[in-house]
Amino acid sequence: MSDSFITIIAIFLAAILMFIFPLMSMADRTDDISELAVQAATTEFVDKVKTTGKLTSEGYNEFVSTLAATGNSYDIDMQIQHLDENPGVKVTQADVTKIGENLYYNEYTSQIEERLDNDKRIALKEGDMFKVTVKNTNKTIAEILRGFFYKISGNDTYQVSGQHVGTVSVNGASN
Amino acid sequence: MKFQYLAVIFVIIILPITLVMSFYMQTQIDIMDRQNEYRAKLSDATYDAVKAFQINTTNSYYSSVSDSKIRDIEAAVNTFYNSLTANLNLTKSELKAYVPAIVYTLYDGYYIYGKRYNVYEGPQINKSGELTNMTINTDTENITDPDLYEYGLKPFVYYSCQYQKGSDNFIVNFTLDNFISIYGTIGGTYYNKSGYLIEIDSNRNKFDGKYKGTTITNTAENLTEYLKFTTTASNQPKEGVYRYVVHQNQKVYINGSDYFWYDQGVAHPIQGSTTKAAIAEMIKKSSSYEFYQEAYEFSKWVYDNLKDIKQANIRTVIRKTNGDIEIETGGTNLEFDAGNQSLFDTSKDPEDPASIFNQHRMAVIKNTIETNLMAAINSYNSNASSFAYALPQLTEEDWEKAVNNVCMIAFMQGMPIGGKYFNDYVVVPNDKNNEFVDNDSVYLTTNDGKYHLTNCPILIENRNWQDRINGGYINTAFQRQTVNGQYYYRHVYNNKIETPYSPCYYCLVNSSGKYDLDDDIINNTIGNIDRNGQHYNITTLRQKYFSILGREKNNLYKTNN
Repeated sequence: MSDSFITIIAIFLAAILMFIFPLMSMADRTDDISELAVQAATTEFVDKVKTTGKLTSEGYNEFVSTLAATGNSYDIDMQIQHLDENPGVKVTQADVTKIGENLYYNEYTSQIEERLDNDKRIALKEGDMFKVTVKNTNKTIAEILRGFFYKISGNDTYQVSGQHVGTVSVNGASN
Repeated sequence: MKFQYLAVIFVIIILPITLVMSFYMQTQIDIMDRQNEYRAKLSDATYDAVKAFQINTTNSYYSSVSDSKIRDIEAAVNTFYNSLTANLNLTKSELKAYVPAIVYTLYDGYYIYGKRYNVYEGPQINKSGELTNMTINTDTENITDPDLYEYGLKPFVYYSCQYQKGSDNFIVNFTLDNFISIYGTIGGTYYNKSGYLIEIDSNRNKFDGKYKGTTITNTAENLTEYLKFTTTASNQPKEGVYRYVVHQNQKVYINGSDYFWYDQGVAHPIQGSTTKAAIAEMIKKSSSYEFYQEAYEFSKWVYDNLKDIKQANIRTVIRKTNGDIEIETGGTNLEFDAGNQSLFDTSKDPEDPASIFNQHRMAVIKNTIETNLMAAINSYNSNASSFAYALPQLTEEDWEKAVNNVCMIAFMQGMPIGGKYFNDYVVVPNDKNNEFVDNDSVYLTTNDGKYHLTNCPILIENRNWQDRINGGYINTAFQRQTVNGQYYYRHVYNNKIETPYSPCYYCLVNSSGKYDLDDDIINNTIGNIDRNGQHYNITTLRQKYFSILGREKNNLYKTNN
């Protein structure tokens, strides 16, 4: 009786060790590779915007398709911080000689996408900041497997992510 | 064998594999993180250096004179190293080993900052009083010893190309725009000419005031600048708005019937009566009309004399590794082959990016940079790293930037980043400089105290805003000036210091990519834009833009003018 009980336990353990564990570990590695690719794509995308001063719809679409190639679906958050270096806006203190008293105002993903749809490109200027955060929205295999053993709850759980920020170094407005 | 044993063996096999795999992946991730980190720091340092160059040249009207330029570039290189040393926690000398070259591309040529052989090998008088050549003793000295080398700017290299056809033999120096200089024998005469190339009508000899579908008026402009200065006579600071003209490459300010020039916050009066008469004559002229007129005449001359020059006439001198000199024709080393088409046919718009002239120009610039850079990096050796230095492949996009802008290209190679060497470069364009007036570097002012880009949606979409354009200057003129520790802006609205012109919200602050400068304005000879069912007339805008652009190009300090 106890012998067969131990056998059952052993079979279970063997199954976990022999199938689930390697599978989980492989799935984890896959996610690592995806993360590597996502991080690389994000950095490249942001750096390109940063050095050319232009955010084009082709560049964005290319970025989206590079991400899609990893097999996951992603939530892409973009943020442009426009530098307002206009001395006229701080009229209460009409001293144009001050440095660093600048304001930034923001544009977010939906606004950026709308502008890309209309104008095909957004020109940025020197001093603007561009930030991209990418998180996966689907459940990756690693997450599903882990779900067998323990649950991670909450809305904002993600496995694959990438983030990069850059300060634009050139005016991209004209050409 | 028992089933359990099999399981144990399986686990023994699988466990190390997964461990090694995850370790390997982690290393890869670390390498990539470090690579990104270094890349960001390299890019920041290069940007800092470009910024330093901009700040140093903003207050100096003579920044394009070569002595001053060398100083500014060396200062920029110092900034680069300072920024990088601070970010990477390395000393400057440690860092130098990983930076094989920094290229500073300028208007008509470029500098490479790098390691150069610095040993005197010239004539000397020996102990017995004879004139001999001093050479290095290769028995005792190792020629590759890094101590024999020094870091610094290598000689300036022009973007030049030689052509030979029959008895015609001349060199053309190209620039980042359509300005060229020609030296050499053409038709038996020695010429030394330079000028801008614009589209000409091969049947007309004189400029008729038409440029790209607009009319350039020949009326003098009223150019003003706000100045803060002391005079040579008194130390009392003065300030005010003064009208200026450019006379012999120099800005001359007009104060009633007196004229003065300005340097480092001091006004120097101009006394000579002939100079004064020449300036008075200058005031009546239109600098912009003069620019297009000269450009037309030069382009016509180029058309008449050089229109038969083709790809086959390019002459390249190649120095082989064994020291032999070989001459090649046909420009096979250039990326662009014009085939049987004329390289200098100015009856086809040379300013068009797709024109034969422009493609040839870009190929020449790329080739001159590439050959020297390749030599500089390949010959680079360092004790700090066993990395094999070689020029990385620059992307087309980066070349595009380098052949059209003043740029700084920094290379960082051979830095160990855990199992790999860091090998990357960064190109940062410098779009605020007094080197040349690019099409996009002109800002237009309107009578509400704002300045705009030419492709500002407000200006394009409102005819009456185009009428409100009251002037325009090169972008560097809108930067803050410093004099004796005080700040001011050169262009003020209503002649008051408190109200400098400020950037427009629809183009400069929140830049819009709605209209393209080249396609929608410059090459839009009809002067109409149809967008989203709307019809816009931009004739006034184009007319004003071209006259401002021409004037700024004409007024820029040029060394070989």
